[in-house]
Amino acid sequence: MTPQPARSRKLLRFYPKAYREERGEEIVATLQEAAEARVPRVSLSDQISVALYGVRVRLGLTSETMFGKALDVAAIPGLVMGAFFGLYLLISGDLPVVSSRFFYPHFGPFLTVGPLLYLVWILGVLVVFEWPQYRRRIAGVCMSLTIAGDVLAKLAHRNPNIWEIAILVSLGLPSLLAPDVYVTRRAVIPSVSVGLATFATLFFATNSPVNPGFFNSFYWSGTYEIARRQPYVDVLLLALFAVLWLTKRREVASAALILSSPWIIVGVAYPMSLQHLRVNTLNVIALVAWAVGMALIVTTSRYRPRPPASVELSTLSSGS
Amino acid sequence: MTKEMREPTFLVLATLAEGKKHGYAIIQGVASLSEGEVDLKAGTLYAMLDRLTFDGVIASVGEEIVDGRLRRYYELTSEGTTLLAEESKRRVKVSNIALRRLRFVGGVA
Repeated sequence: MTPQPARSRKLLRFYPKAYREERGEEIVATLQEAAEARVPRVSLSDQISVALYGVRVRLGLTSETMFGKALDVAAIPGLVMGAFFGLYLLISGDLPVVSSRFFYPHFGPFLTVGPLLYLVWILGVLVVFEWPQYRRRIAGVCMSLTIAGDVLAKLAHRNPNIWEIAILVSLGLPSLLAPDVYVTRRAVIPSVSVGLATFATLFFATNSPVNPGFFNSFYWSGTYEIARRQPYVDVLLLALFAVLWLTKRREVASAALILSSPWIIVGVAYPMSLQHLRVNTLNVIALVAWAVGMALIVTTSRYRPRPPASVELSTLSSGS
Repeated sequence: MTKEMREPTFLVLATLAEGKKHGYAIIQGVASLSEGEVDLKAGTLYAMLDRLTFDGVIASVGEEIVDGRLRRYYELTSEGTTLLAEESKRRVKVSNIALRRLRFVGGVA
């Protein structure tokens, strides 16, 4: 064996054992043939693409698995949810502070970089509706700028709410991780419905009579209200999941579970991070139910060897 | 959610319309059909082959060992042939309309 096939075989470690046994030799042969035709070694881009696909197969993130299909369904609605979340934070968080006589803007027309980030998400969604094939890149841009915005806001002596940033960033994950084989259609109406439902739920869930509509996002914590009302939302989410699952719309049910992930996790993680807050037991129950659901999706998406096809193996010539 | 066919998928199916082919032959066929514009990476190819096999558009039809290397061959199924024919007709129709319009405004002789 020459050193090159050995190197190609090393790439197969990224794949699950069953896949490696089924397709490994075929992939190595293709890599070798491609390498011989171009340069006398396997190109770096070929190595990266084979390794990345191996990770996808290992994690069950391919387009034929439940996880992959659910991510595909959740991808654009996730970005739209992020845009509506941004819009909600702007209307219910940043603008009331700007118009308040107790606070005044320190960063351009707004308090921090928050509104600029919301704008990135809103523009990102408009671009995705026009060119859905670029959803992965657009999600990457939205997520990167949000993380960079956090750093920038800290430099401007602000204290961005890390939980809301975490929610925003994670809403781009389905687009980033979804398999990318076909062009996904825009699905404007379902996606906007998801966004509007998010906006309405947030509005009603966080609007308290003590502090009506006053809920700053990137200035101080408003996540308290989200965590406090999360059990009501969880009941709705679990009911939605159950209905979709029982009516055999399991990819959509799984997508709903994926999109509810950041809210359910933050509902528990946020109070846990503060000593003076108690974690709501119902939020913990919802988190456990969510974890079980996700485990089910991930487990059923693991690679399984295909039944042997009726193919014949003929040896044309034996290699050296 | 409705899907539409991406260019690399179309090129893979068009390559297989010629007959059964193995992995590297498909990469070559795609490069040739696209006049070098599409350089299919091995990882992308196998993601596509897995998906198309799962969808019943192509099927693995045999293996052979050439120079000590395993070649697995793929070909279009009847479903794949229909799909490719429909997609090709759709593309031809759109192209014809575009060309007619270009002629109308004097863009193409």
